[in-house]
Amino acid sequence: MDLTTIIIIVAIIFIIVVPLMLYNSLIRKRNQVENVFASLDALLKKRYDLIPNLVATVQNYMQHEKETLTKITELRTKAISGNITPSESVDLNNQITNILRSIQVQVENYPDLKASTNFLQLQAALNEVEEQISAGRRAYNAVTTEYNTAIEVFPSNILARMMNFTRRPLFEITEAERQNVDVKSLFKN
Amino acid sequence: MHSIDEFYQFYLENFSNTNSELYKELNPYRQKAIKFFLTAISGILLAALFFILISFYEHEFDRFSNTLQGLIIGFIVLFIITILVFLGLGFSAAKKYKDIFKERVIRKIIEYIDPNLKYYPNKFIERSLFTIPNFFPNYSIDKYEGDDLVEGVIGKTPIRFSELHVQEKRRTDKSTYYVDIFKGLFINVDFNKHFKGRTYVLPDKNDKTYAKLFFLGEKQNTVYGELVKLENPEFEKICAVFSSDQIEARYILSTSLMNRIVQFRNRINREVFLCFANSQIYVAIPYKKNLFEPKIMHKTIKFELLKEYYEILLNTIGIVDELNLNVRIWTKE
Repeated sequence: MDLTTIIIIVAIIFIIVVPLMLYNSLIRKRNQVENVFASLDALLKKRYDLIPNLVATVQNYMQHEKETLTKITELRTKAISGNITPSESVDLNNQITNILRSIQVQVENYPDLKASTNFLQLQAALNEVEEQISAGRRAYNAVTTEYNTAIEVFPSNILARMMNFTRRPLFEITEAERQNVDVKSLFKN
Repeated sequence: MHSIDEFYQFYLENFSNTNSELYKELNPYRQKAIKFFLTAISGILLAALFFILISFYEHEFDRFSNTLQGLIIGFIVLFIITILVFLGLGFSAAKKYKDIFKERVIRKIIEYIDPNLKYYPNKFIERSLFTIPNFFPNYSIDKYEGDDLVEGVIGKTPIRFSELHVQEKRRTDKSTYYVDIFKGLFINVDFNKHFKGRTYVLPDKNDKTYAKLFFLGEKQNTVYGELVKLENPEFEKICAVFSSDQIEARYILSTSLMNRIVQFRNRINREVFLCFANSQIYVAIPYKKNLFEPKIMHKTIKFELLKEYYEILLNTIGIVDELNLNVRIWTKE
């Protein structure tokens, strides 16, 4: 076998093997994104399940907060209805997060409620699921960043374009989360 | 927590006065140990001298009568036995000295840090607990020793730790010897959140590099689990995280916990192995030397020595506060 034949063989292997590996890597990354998104969805469902309990526990005490409670029940119904796009789901969940947070703040005005064991257990469960959701978002952002980078850098970007892979949006922290807690505004009302 | 200045006062009150009860108890054993060791050493030197002399006059020795030869050999054997007896007595006195030191000094320091903590100088973390995190999967444990077990509850958080020395037996054609698998402090603390899987935070030496070396960086599974890339660059620089679950790893390693681990790591300035499993934390911190031991050659107990032990104890017990484990706002009580 002379040198040219060897070079040709190596080149052919290279041309076949490299795109294959890139292809596999892209698929694996996309699946990872989908996998984490599904886990995140499961966590969000866990939170939807807690909401009716919370409303039931809280409504006897929080007579003045009826509106907030109706709002959160509505949002939950919309979120579990199923026929919503991922971006709508993100938006709904951001709203739910904000309302849950505001309920936790308002509880301060109801000492009886604050002392009830039922509520304390619920609060612990909510804290837990919130923290899990936030972990899920971080995981989602990590794998999505990896995926987005892979479809934008050379040479995998060529393949990604052929396969119609597009950038996926990251979970952004909502405006309310980004701002530092304004302690003064909590005491105003 | 007491400051170092306060601890110095505590030292002055309790351990510096050489006329105190403590020294009255310690000194006889110290003197005995030193006396026996010195005698044994002079005996060894004498024996060495004797053997050199014999090797010079070997042909003269052959000319002695059998009885005389027998007498000389008998004398040598007796001499060696005496040396061994003295060494044994020396070691036993030193052991007694060590026991009193631990009972009267180390115990007092631990009580000073937190009166709720219990101290067992001769007990140590069970082997079954050490093997749960399986930090060193490439070794087999052949020798498992330890001492200085401390246990108690800090706030709401149970903690246990002890010194451990774990070794593996190796064989060559000529001899067998032991290599260290782990020597240092092993700590078991309750974690404040529930979780199911297993997450490791290891010193970033080779594991992460190995994991990344695989082509295109996707085959990132190791014996510890899948590589987890976290968003805190300072944390990522010193730690490699592996987990059975990407989301759970982030649930455990919240942004604040990552900062706290970095701070802890920088403050003790040592390698730290962390494993989160069974809703508990297992921590291994290697130390080269034997901790909480007295220095028998020192006439008084030196402040520097106790300060070192005090700081190690503070740092270890401080894990609970440092990692904020008393915050129990989740479902785990």
